Amino acid sequence: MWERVIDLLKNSVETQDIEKLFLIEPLDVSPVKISLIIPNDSVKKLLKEKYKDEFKKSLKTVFGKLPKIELVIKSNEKDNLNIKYAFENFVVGPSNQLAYAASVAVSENPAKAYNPLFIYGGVGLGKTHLLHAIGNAVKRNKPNSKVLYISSEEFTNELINSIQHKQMAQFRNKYRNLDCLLIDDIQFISKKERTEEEFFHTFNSLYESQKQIVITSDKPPSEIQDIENRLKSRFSWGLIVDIQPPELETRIAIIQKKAELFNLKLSPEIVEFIAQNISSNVREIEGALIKISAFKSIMRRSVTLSLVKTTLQDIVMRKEKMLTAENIQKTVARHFEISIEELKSSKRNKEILIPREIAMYLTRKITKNSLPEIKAKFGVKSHATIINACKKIEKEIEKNPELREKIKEIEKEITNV
Amino acid sequence: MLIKTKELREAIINASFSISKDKESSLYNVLIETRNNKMEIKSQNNITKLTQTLNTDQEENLKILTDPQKITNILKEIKDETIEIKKEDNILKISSGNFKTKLKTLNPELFSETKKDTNKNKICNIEAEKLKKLIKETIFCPDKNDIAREYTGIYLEIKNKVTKATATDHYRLINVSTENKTEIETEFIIENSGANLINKIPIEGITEIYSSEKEIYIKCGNISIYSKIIKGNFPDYNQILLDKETSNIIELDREELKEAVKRSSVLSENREISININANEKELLISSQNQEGEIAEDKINFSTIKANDNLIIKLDSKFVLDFINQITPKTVTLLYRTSEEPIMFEASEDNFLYKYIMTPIIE
Repeated sequence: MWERVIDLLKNSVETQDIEKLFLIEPLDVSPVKISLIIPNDSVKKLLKEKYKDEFKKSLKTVFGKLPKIELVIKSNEKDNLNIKYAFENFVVGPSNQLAYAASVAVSENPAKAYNPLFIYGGVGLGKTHLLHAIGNAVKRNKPNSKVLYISSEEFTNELINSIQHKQMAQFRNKYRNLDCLLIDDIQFISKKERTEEEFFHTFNSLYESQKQIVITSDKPPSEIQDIENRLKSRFSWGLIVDIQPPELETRIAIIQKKAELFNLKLSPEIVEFIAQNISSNVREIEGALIKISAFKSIMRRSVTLSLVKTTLQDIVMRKEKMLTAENIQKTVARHFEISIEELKSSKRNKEILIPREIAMYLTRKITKNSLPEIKAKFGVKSHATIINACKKIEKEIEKNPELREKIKEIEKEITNV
Repeated sequence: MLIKTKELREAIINASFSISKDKESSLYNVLIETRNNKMEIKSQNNITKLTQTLNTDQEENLKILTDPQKITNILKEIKDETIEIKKEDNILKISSGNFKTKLKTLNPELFSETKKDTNKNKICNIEAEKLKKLIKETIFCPDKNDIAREYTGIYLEIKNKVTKATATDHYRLINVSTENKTEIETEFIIENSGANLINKIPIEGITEIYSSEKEIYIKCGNISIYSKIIKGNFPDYNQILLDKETSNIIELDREELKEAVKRSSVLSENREISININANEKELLISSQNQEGEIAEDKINFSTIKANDNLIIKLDSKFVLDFINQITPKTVTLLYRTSEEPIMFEASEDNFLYKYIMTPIIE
């Protein structure tokens, strides 16, 4: 049908415009409505102004009457947005309420509400979801706005490529002409001087032109190590919000929502079981549901509490395996570049003693080991040694930010299974 | 025209694997087409299509649509190296020495050849032997009658320089993988009859694989195979593979296991066998019994890689044998957790890694 319309139309347009008309792609063609994808504004003008009458005449001839016309401008710029992530499917709870509200406000009033918006929090808590949701909402409200989602690693790679291929002008042009830049995991630009420099100028350019910037990180700006202070201070110009791990009720809501997506019917008993057993992050909850869903569809097993228990057992077991005194000793020793034997020895020099006390502190904090068990694992003579080590490290964490960061990093490595 | 008897016979046999099953259909026949000293033997059905090219002395264009079975039967009886083929009106004349035969042919225009898909892209090159092995080792598993179409074919993944074939019938799942040098990443579910065709056609050397939205195309020497692919997503089977870190692992002699399963299942009326793993004694007891209470059992030893838990599990003996019969390594490893969870056999030979999951029989 569309070919016939074009055939008729081309007889009444100027030769230089014929080629442009062939760039139009029919999206949906029916006698009631015709939707067309238009490559750019100039072609749109041809149909809406220059050849408006001829276009309508051709349509009437082919369809017998004039259908409703919808022209959609083709978007050539990749925005990297995943439409799957929207505000509508973000489960809000006390742990993420502020981040959610700030994100909605930013998407409704880009560059006016909070600029930049800095969202930080642990792995799998929904930072990336909010970034995409902001981008999708901005695009929905203003379809012509230039939005880009990018991880800081991709930003770095693109920068390296541009330097290599001498295309810095294009790189700058791309980033500095955006209406909304959504950059994920900014902490990864630390120690990358050229990336920091380039991002600094991109930030300034966008900020000065009153364009929205949204940044995510695993920690607040002040705690990102090895990143220039001028960047840290800029990150703090707008609003800084955090996302905490969801509490039980939110986890239940998340499970119910995700189960719907996976087409899983879970009884309240099963939902509660998962929520009780997976507490650290949403990605883990999603992982558990994917596993259950795979068992259901591949092995045609009905989703019973017993299936869920055995499925989650793998996740729980893996976690328990990681959360052992042995693994903590191994991880701490690696971080402080000493051997496990040294860590477990009775040496009192600072380089050995501090890691040993940290290992004891972490074992007490994150494993289910009792004091006698920890005593045995570390080969110390009394419980008091462990208790004193824990107290000492707790005090150190209060006053020594560098050590606090290091311990946090080790703990994250151990608990992020 | 003169043509080599053996080449033509083999090409017609190959073509017969891709004809329609409907005897009333014109596609129940093969099309022999000559042009510029080349002869193309074509066959197709609603899923697959096969073309094989042979050399001939015929320069003129000629089209013959004929029954592959009749022509194969005739060619089987001819011992001469070459035969002469002629077509007069709708009669195909085959002669060799004093032997002559006349066959009725159909109007070649009835063979409605499907249009070539011009949007296909090359995926990779893969050795024919590897591709055939991946298919051969998984083809026993898909559930051809499943309502969910994605389970009726073989799921092929080419990524991270590894090619994997996976199939399941919901009671078991087979996953075979092998290294491949290609950088391209792709995945598709090939129709069961397409996979069957690749399995049956004798291809050798390097095959080129192309794909489009609807079909894959495999080119190997003078043979081209087309097969439709199944639209849909194969579920994430990686989620159900047993994890070595959280499973018990024992190693068994494959031949011993095979013989023990065969012997122990003799009395079983429904192929059900009971497997009792004693991790302390490193003994595996396989037994079955019939309704009269008569028992057959066999015991084999195993070596422990990592096993603390004992296990009593009921399995389908045929499913166990389907796997261990088709592989050749000296040993197989068995991963298990509890009697209600699937078990997984793992084995490797040459450059192939096998993973085979079976669900237990739960009453």
